[in-house]
Amino acid sequence: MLKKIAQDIKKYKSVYLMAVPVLLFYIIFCYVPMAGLVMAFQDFRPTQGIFGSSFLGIRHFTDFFKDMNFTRLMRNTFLLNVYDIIVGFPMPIILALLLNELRGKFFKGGVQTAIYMPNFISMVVLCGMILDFCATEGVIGGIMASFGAEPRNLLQDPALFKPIFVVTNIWQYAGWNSIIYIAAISGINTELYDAAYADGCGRWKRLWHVTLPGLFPTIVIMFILRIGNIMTVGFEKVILLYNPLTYETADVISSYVYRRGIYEGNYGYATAVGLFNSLINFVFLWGTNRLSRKLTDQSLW
Amino acid sequence: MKAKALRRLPCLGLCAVLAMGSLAGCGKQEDAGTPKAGADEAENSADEVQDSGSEEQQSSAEEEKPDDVSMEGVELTVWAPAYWVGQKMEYKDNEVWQEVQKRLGVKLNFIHPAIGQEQEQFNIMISSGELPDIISAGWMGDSLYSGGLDKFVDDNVLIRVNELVDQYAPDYKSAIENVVEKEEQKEFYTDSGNMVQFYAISPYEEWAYNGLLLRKDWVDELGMGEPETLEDYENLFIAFQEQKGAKSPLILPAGGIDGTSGFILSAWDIGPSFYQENGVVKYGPIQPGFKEYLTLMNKWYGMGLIDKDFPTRDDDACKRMMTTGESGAIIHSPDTVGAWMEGVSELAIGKYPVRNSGDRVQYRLKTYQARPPYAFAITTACKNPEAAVKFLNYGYTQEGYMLYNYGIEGETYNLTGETVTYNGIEYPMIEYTDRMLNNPDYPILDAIQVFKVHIGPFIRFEHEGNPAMNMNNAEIRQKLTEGADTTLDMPMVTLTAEEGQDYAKVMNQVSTYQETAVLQFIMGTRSLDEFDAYVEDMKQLEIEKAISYQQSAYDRYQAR
Repeated sequence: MLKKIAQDIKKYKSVYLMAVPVLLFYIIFCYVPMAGLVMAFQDFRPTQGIFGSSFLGIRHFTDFFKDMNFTRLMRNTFLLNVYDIIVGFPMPIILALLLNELRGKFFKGGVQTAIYMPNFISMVVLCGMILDFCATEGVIGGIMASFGAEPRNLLQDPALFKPIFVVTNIWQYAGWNSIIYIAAISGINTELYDAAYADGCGRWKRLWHVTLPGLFPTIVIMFILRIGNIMTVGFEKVILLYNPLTYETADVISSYVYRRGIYEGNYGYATAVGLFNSLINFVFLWGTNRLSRKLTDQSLW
Repeated sequence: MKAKALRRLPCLGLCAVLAMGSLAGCGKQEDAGTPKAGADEAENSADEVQDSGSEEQQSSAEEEKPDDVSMEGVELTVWAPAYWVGQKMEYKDNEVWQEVQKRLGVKLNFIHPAIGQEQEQFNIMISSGELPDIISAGWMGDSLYSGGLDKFVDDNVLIRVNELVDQYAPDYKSAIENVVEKEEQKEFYTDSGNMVQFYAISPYEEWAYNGLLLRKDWVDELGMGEPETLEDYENLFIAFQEQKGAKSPLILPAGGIDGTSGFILSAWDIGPSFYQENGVVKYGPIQPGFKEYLTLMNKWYGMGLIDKDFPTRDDDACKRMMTTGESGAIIHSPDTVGAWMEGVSELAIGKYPVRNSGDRVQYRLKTYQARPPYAFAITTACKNPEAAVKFLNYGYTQEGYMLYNYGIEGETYNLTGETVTYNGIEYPMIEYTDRMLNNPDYPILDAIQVFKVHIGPFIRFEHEGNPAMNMNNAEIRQKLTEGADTTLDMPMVTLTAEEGQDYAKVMNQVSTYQETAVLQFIMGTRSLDEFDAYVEDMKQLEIEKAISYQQSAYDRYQAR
């Protein structure tokens, strides 16, 4: 067995060599830091380090479960992701399909560049724009006023936080995320299209019977990966957009971890919450993967 | 895909940083072997004093002593939050910091954390164990050290400097004893009697820097006189609205409470947060008076006197509203708003509003002679603490404080020959040159950053030494200081490490809940009939525990 591997390495030297940086990346940035999870069970004092801090057991976890914000944080984190999946997940797919139907080369390139752009705008700038749009005297307020409605600040209304968050997410990421689908579409055998054309399929039918089935494995994998992040919301955007009036619907686990962990320096507690969060994510990932393997024969592992 | 991977990074990054234990390249002290050629008479110790007479200066003049440390070849790394208003200017570009190095023969390497991330980067630096030699607290002041300075001494991060100061920083010591009022001297020591930081020292109480500011042209044109009572203010804001066309006359601070000075709510004899009444610590936002405050704010909000969007306004938005006449009153810093309003209108100060004419407000922003912002502390990583102490002592010598406050004589200032006396000590008066005041390359707010040091380890003459303070602002700030008493103010207390941790936990929950509730009460989405329920909730969140911690810290302070 070992011999076989050694032979293999000898034979494909350059391939293995190319894999080394990737492996190193994962070891250094993903596996080594896992040792830091020990902090979740410690009364971690930065000045005393991991080895000097005293052991606490699961007190951080029980503290979190008893926290008055616990249910609110869980609900918001979960719901934001569910909305994002329902509304946001299909968007890049639809975009990719539409772009695939475009024929004019320049027009297509122009559209692609335009929709990738928001992904490259700094989060702070982008959220500044959103704040301005949503202010009482902002663009949206102006449109509301022209229809006779009373303009108001949309980001002060707890009920609107999640919709604003999800819709602007589409604006930010849909274009960029469509790349992988466009790549997958271009990998579909063109003979299939020719055959379908010969059989008298129109555009719509070709899309339905050739493109979508060809795209299906990618969609499933992307979906499983997305579900694996069901309890993950980046804290930057939330922190930039929320205010005390919208805490009720906007405060999520990561923004809470940010306030408690980084800002207050309570690393042990923040790590515990982060670990708990990852565990839930993992359960969802595992569940979806199993389900998908059963139903569609597509799975991550 | 990429976006998703990125989103996972923060938590990972945190673990990575802590586990690997190294990130920022915090330079270490090096022993540069070659002494500086020429060593231009590094006038390190106290120097010839022109205006004799004061005990402070005599004691420093006698300190040419045998156990003097040499500064030759000493390099010190200084971690210091830098701030700038206009151009980006680091300490190494600052003429005074350059001159200090030249005069003392010491080399200073500055590390600046990213603006707005000082606390985070400080925490990471402490966790990594890669300490600089000296840490400056920046605008955060003592609160940078959560858990208190004593904890950082116990945890072997900072060193206690009492003994070193006695030996190598006679000028700092005598400045504390002679410049500072007796009852404020204990602010230089912690509860356990440690001296840890070199604080900026003011020869007097600096004028308050936050207040209710009004558009002077409007107030003058309306001719309603100077508002005094809450009713006067209400009428004034109505006049702003009706006669001056202000869409939203008053911009409230984003939280709905003026946390800095307690403006408006101090009319009910409470503070915006913790305050003390005859030695008993209380928490303002659960007092009955606070309900009255919220009721009035709710009424004003309903009448359209308060900006509808105040919880989401940033400084840019406030500036736009104030300069375009959308608003005519704001609770803010007179220096900042004064700069905004240049060419629009002068500012008038709003008196501290009271309930009945003739009342006097008992709570306001108070600055102490020990100024925690930009205090400097020495870490355990410093190999030559004697030299560090001696370097920090320089700002309390006559030559040193002239340099820090005013820059280099003949270049940025000239002595007028007059003096001003505070607390029995005479200080020379100066006149700035055009290089400071009318520099085409450096507008005044930039000039402050290049030609002098705004605040740091020295005796700080803010009133005479800040060239950006124009007469209008100076007058306003003086009035803000004299307009109210400080009988309800808390002194500068410190919590112990154990208290601090639990306190932070409690206050995190309390303030999250309170911030939402206060805004809801003001904006009317929650009825004020529920105020009692709100107080009950606050007690459920153990606000009383936080009060008791503040109380014991207060008692310890009194016992120092």
